Amino acid sequence: MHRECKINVHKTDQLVIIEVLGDLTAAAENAMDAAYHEGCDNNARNILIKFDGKSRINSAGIAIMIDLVIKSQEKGRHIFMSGVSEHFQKIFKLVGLTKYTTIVASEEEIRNV
Amino acid sequence: MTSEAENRYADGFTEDALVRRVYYLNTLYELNQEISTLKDARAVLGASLLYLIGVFGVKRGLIVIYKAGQAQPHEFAHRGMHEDTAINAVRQLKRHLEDMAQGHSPGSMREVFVVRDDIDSPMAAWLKDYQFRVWLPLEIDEQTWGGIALGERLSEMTFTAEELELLSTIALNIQSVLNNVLLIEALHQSVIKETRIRNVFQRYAPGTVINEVLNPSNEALLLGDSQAVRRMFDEMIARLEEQHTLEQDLDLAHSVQAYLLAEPPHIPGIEVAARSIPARSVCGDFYDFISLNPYEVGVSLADVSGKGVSAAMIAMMLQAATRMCVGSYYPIPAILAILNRFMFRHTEPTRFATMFYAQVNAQRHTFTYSSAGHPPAMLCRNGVIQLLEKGGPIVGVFEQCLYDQETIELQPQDVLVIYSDGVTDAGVTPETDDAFGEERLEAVVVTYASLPAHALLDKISDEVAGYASGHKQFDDITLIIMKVDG
Repeated sequence: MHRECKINVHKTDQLVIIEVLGDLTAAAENAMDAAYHEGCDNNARNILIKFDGKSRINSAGIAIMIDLVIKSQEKGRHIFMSGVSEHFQKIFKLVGLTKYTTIVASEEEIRNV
Repeated sequence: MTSEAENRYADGFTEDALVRRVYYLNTLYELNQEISTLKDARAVLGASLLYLIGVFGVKRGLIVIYKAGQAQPHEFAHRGMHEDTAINAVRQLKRHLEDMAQGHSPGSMREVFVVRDDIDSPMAAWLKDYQFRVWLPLEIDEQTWGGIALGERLSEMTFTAEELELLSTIALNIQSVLNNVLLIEALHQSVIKETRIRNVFQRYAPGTVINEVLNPSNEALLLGDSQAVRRMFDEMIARLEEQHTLEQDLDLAHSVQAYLLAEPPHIPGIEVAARSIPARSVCGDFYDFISLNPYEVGVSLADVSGKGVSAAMIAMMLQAATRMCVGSYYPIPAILAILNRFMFRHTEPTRFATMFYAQVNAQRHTFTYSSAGHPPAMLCRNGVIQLLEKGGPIVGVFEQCLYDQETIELQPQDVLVIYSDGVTDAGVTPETDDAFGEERLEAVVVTYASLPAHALLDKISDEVAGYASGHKQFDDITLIIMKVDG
């Protein structure tokens, strides 16, 4: 069974962090969409989707991620991801998400870049 | 995992391939779980498209159904495209599909269509205009049809044969659910009409209808409690509606299962016959034949624990998962290991299945099999029965299982009998456990081994039915007979 998904948004001028606690599935679509719009109401160019390391992301969750990637590209924003397990990194590579996003170990890595 | 298992996994597929395969199977399962709970067609289309976009990593998608005689699409959903663009797309698509159906335009509305530069047709032009790469038709019934269009992939890869197979399987599931949902929608519409009629009766002739349908000795009627009578009437209508829906669901499930039972294939030099007799409206057993190449066929027979609709649904899922695994030429032990893990992760702990899977090669004259806790198939050669017992545990109980396989060199006149335990358990009642049994089955096979496969199948069925005559059939009965020409 899926774990309930809670989404928090933290933002600075440079970086929007969308924190995903739980599993990313179809049930989280509206919350993710709202978090994206709440987080991106400024000019931040970088977005970090921060998973909790145990998050399970099914096909519907990946479709939600694809939606965010396409929206971000249209606005010239780049998506980073952290806390993605090795298994889901393979899935992201399989569906092509890694071509459009960057997986990082922590938000510090983005700030250093 | 043992080194032996690693060797097996190394034989033909990689870790990445395993991740991909499990991801595809998970998607198939979860999509089916999700849409089977939905009540309206729009929600089914929306959820289906969400999963399709995610599983194939595509940038845009459209799913639409039309009903004959309606100018506008019945329902549609889209992702990755603007609403106006999607509306234009579905309007134009209807014209192309109708032109194809009437033969005014090349192509068939029943075919999977993959965009290629060298194909030029109105349908190809439509797909290119809207940046789609693949089209898969949906055929709900004679009056309702549509399809799925998927766009460019993030990976920029083209769709492989394996992925098109998965897409076809997903489409089959979506069709089944839509069929059900549309029936319920139609029933709901008829209930609304019926309610209007009842309201008219109650307004102009209160009590008339109620007195006709309820027993005059009813206490509420005798006491003149009109509110109670009305409540009874409503409850009775609700029960009738529920019963009607359940019967329609069962009919639908029965039709879907019958559709999924494959016709025995033509294998050069080998005659094949198969039959499945459910104990109830639907069956927890299934058999299937999957063509691997002109000389090789995959043969599966499985028995899911439990009975009725729940077992039948799991059987259908297991059958679809088996087809997907088999299509990629994995070794047989690996196929059963993947199916085991799939069942373990996605069914209740009390759900499991026994399964026999084999590949028959008519060119090499071989029969390679593995049995997952299934009753041993029988090989009858020169009047002697050999039990085919290699394999491993039933699927769905343990997360990691290993399976053995064995290859039999086929000889002329060999007879192979694959069956579910409904055959050997026939005749068992709550009072007695005197079943038909393996020994009687072996005796029938040896006695009538010279008959053609279909005649032997009839003979075994007759013997089982005769033995169990007068007793209710408690378990599904499934049989496959294969006979080598000689």
